[in-house]
Amino acid sequence: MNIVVAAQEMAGLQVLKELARGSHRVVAVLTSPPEASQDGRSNLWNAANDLGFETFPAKLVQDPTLGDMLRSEHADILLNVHSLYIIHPSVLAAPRLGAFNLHPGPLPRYAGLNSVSWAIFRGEKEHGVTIHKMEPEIDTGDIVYQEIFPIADEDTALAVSFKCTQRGVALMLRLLETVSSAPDALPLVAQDLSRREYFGKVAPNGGWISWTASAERVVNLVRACDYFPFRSPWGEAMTRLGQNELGVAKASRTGLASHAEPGTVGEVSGSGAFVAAADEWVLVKKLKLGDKYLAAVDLLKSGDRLEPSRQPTVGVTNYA
Amino acid sequence: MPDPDYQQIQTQLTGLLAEKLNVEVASEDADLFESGALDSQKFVELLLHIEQQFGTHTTIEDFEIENFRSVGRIAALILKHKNAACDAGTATVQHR
Repeated sequence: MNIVVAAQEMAGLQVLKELARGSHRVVAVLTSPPEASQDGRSNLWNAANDLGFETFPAKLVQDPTLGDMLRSEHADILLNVHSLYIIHPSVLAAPRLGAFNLHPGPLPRYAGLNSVSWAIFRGEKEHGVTIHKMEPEIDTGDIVYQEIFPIADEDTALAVSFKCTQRGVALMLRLLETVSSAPDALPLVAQDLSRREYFGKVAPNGGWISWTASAERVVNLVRACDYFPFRSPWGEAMTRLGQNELGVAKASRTGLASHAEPGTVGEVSGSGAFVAAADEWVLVKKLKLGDKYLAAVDLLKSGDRLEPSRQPTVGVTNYA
Repeated sequence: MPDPDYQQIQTQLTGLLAEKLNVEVASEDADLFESGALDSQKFVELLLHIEQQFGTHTTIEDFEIENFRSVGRIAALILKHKNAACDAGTATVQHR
């Protein structure tokens, strides 16, 4: 088969590695070029070149002339692996067997962006990955394969993201196996769009912690933001100590009831600082001040008071 | 007694991290994620260097965060694949 891959992130690399070992022809890899990355590095671009694939800028998928190129190359299938550019309808229509997306969420629920973070924030006990046929409207096409897996209480967004990659790439390989051997056997199940939930890019409340919320909700927000040491699409969960805005990088529940004023810093030790939520002490372990990550003990002392943002920040983010 | 292959892989990995990725590792058990040593770019590079330097192909089944948490765990993963490749080679010879 002739395959086109729009790829980003760890999942993109894993799919490319598997394709490099296989017998299919990769017509093109669309990914972010080095000059588009924050630090001038694009390992996926370079990795694709190292694997022998021709690379094109990811945003080319928005250009309808790419459809002509795919037709002239007799592209059979387009795989979209964690690439966030909206693909032009004429590009989607060009491959003989269609275009398929690996979505890191259980459709029809958790359509849209940052589904891993949203699921953790909402306290979900399970998440999933979905392969679906791509339609012009985002995350709406027929479902080919889906796998649901548990989220552990201590799982961070990074940990769940690894799970999504592992399971999602396996499903992508299964898709390739099926379409190359028996394309008519490919399951295509229409989504029940009445169950659809669409999530946006921005963190809830701009990512600011409300200490008047329950400990579960506070810690869920911290975990939902926690891609440490990878870049988090939501940045760290934020709080304020005096004039300083602090990112809360690591925190966990203690199960110890608190009757202190929410945001009050209680006992501080090498393992972290107890901070009062509405119902329970939260153990804050690691903070970010500016660009530096620091142990909570280095920044907080008993009696300090953590507060939310000065300004209401609903719907606003300064670190998306 | 420690497996000499494991020790050798660990030493090579530590060197790879230092030379190619500018990551100094304190010990085989040091947590590469918790310490902040590996950002996503470096992690992608590490995956590629592992394949190039050790000639092993990590599978998607291996792609669990715990398998990459420390030099020791990565060394164990590489050794597992090397041993599996040796076993497969032996089996092929015997079959012939």
